[in-house]
Order: sequence, then C-alpha cells, then structure tokens
Amino acid sequence: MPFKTVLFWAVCMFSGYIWGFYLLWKVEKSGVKRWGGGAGSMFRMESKPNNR
Amino acid sequence: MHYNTLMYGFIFIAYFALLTWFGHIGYKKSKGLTDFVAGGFNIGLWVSIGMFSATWVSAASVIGFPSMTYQVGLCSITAIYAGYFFANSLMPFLANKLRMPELPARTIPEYLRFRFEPHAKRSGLQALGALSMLLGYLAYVMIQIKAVGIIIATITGIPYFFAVFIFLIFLIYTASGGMWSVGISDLFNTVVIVVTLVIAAGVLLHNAGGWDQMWSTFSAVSTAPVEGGKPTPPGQLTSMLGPYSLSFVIGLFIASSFGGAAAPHWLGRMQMVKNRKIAIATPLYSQLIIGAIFAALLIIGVAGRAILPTIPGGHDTDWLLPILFTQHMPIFIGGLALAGVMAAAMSTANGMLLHQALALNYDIIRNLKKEKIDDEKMIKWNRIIIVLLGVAATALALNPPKLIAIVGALVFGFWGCTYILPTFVGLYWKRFNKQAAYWVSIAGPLTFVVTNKLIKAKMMSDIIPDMVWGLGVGIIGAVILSYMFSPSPKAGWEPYWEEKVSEDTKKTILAAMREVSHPAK
Repeated sequence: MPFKTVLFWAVCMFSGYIWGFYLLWKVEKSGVKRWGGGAGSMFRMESKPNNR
Repeated sequence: MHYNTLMYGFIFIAYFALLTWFGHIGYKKSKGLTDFVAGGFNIGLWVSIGMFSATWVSAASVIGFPSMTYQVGLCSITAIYAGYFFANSLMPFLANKLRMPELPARTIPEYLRFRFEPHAKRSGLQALGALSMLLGYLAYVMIQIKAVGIIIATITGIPYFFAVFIFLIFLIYTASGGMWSVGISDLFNTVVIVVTLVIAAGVLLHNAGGWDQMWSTFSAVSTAPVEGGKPTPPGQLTSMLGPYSLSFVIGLFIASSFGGAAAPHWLGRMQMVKNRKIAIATPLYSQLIIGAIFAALLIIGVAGRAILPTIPGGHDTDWLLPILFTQHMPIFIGGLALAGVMAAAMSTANGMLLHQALALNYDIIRNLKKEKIDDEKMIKWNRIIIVLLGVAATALALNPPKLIAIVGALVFGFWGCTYILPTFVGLYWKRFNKQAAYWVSIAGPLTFVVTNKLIKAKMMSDIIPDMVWGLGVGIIGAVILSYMFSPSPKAGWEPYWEEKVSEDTKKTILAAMREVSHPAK
C-alpha cells in the first residue's frame, strides 16, 4: 500500500488525540463536577456517587 | 436464486425486527420536549459513541468510499475520507466549549441565537442556520435512501421505486421516537456495521489472493471502471491526486475536514451529552471504531477492483458493493454485509431526518412564532414533519445524482461556510458578534455556491478552491464587523467562558428557550 497515503491518513486520524487528551486533562484538573472534572482520572467520565 | 432471495429476506427481516425493538426502547425514554430534541442533555458515553460512530458511517461512506476508490483510486482518501478523520480530530476543540454551559442550546441553530443574539425575541440567525440544515439534510437523506434502494432492488428484484419506500417506513419509525430512539437504535447499528463489514472485507481479501497480490493487481489495473467508460491510466489508482487537480483535492479536503467538524448534527450532539468530558471523549473513542470500519471499506474497494476490473451491466460504480456482496461471497455473509450497508444508511438517515425536522419545527416555526407552542404539540408536529420530509427525500431519490461521495462533500462545504466561523472562531474569540455571524451565515455559503458554479463552468480559475473563497469572504467580513460593532452581550459569551454565570444570564437564556426553569431538571 502506498506509504504516503497511509501516513497522511494516520496523521489525520491520530492528531486529535494530542489536543484531545490535553483538553480532557484540563477538564479533570478543573474539578468541576458537572463537567466530569475531579473524577479521579481524565479517562473517568464522571465522579462515582458517595454511598453511605 | 429462490434460496438466495429467501436467505437475504430472512436476514433483512431479522435486522428490521431488531431495529424496531431497539427503537422502541428509545420511544419509551422520551418524556418531554428536551428528551425528544436533546436526549434530556443526559446522553452517556456509550450511547454517544454508538450514535456518533453509526451516524458517521453513512451510505455515503459505505457505498461511496469503495465506489470512489474503485473508480479513481487512493485519492479518495486524500481528497475526502482522510478529511473526515481530521474532522473527528478537530471536534474536541468544539466539544470543549459547546458543552460548557449548565444549560446548553437544544439545537445548533439555537446555539447561534444564545451566543450572538440572546436577547432577541425572534432570532434570524437561528432561522438562517436552520435553513442551511433543511437544504443540506434533504440532499444527505436522499443519498442514504438511494443507497438502500439500490440494495433492496438488486437483491429482491423489487423495482427501485418501491424499494426506496420500504426503507422510508422504518426510517420514519426510528426518527419519530426522538433523540433517544435514534441513539439506542444507533448503538445496535454500530455493532452490525462493524461486524458485517469486517467479515466481508476478510472474504474479499481472500478472494483477491491476499494482501500483496491484491495491491499488486490493483496497481496494475488499466481497464475502464464502467462499461463504455475511459480506461484508467496506469498508476492513477495509487496516486494521491488521481485524476484531480491539487486545488480541487485541497478544496474537497477542507470541506470534508473543517466542514465535517462543523456539520450541524455533530455540533448539536456535543450539546446533548451528560457532560463536557463525554463531549470531548466521544469523537476520540469513536475514531477507533470508525477507523476499523474504514479500513474494511478500503479493502473492499481495492479488492473489488482487483477481482472485478470493470463494473458489468451498464451500472455506475455505486453498484460495486451490491454486486460484490451478492456475486462474490457466500450467500449468508453477503446477506450480513448488505444488512451492514442498510444499518449504515439507516443510522445516518434517521438522525439527519430528525435534525432536519427539528430545524423546521423548533428552529424556524417555534422561533419565529410569537406565541409559545405547547411541548406535546411540538412533538406531534415534529412527527408529521418527519413523514413529509422523508417523503420529499424519497421523491428526490427516485432521480438521484451519480457519484455519492462528491455530492456528500459539497453539502459539507455549504455547511462549513455557514458554521465553521461561528463555532471555531466564535467559541474562542469573545469579540465575534451578531453582525459577523449574520455576515458569515449569508455571504459564506453564497460565495461557496457561486464560486463552485463558476469554477465548474470554467469561468473562474480553480487555483483557489470554492471552499476557501467561502471561508475567506466570511472571515474578512466577520473580523471587520466584529470591530465595527459592539461585541455580543454578556449573556451571549458568559456561558462559554465562565463556569458560573450571573442570574441575568440564566434568566436571558431561559427566556430565549421559552422556559421558566432548567428543562432537564
């Protein structure tokens, strides 16, 4: 398979992870619960509810 | 032949039965207008990924990508489909801001109102944004209906005319259930698409003699792609530009990427999910699923040309998939693969039909009418409009355009010139104001359409692509107007810049939505 076309496709596809992960990290650091922040990990979408 | 038809019929009936069941789950979840229009602003990560992936992989992709790859080679990637992946890559920037507010807009034309003229009693921007959606979705839904019409007609022998109306019935059913019905049935559709197309690609790869043989045969093809057509020049199929000029390819790439990222259904969906993190994560996670699907589609297109150097029977290359799936693989797998194509068309068309109806009913009629319309009436009218618009798209599908992929990219170019600047710039530059938004909404798409026509008629050079003209005229006017007139009022920018907004801003947004309290709480 032509290498240049593969490379072009790969750059288009994976470049978003660079800034996407950065934005997820920023939201997590903000600690704002209604945004999904402060959940314990940038990959966790919302905080677990407190169960007593 | 009789056995084949029975097998396909069994698979299609099973698919539509499961689709109806999943759609019904969504019907039961829609309790009010905000549920119907925006999933109650409560759509979780997996439903969001399912909706996103399924809507993304449309008939334009499933039929169009292999068709274009078959006809003109790998420039299908550089011109259009890599652009769609770059669109996904750009979406986190928009998702990051669009889902910031505690009370987002229910639709993307409503975002234009909230951001740029929140105090307006009736919003011209909301109506203009909706108008571009109405026209664009008519074309796009038509494309999906055409694709399924081809499949049903090929398999069953039912005339194309009746085949498209069969699809319409199920399309109307899932769209009429609102955003939850679309979302849950899309989760099902995503699984069907991935499984069936990956299996089909594996079979065709085997039939083409394996990976190396497939590429070797593909590179050497020099027949005409269709009967009576011009032979493919040697080497064209593996070239990054194919038969197109560099500026044409750049124009298509910009339309697919920036235009794709700013397509109103994506923007609208980013506002519907449970929180900002899910909005950002959705395109990132979906990219992997879509990547697998497109890798399978690439193999189908390349292997298709290796196995079948010319499309027989006087058909165009959009018939590649039905021919491959019915004549070049075992019946059961071919039937599953065809169900995958239908799932792709259905999952895109139902969401777009719903968005199109909302554009007319919610963003134009409800917006411009003086009196508030009862929520129950809104939902009822929406269902009626879905039927009417579905019939209109079906009527268009009876005399459809030839190359699906190119038509899809032009629609994205039109939307791009409408929505790119008010979102990519408007969400990150406070100064971008109402006058700039109006300018972009009118001058941008007009410039795109005019330059597109002039370039096609060779009355204008194609060195600068039409999309660049549309965006260029838009941004220059927008910057001038943003400095000539005052910025948006505080109620317009505050929800997209601040975590907590003032009481005045809250009241303004609720008034603009014609609600007295948060509609999803």
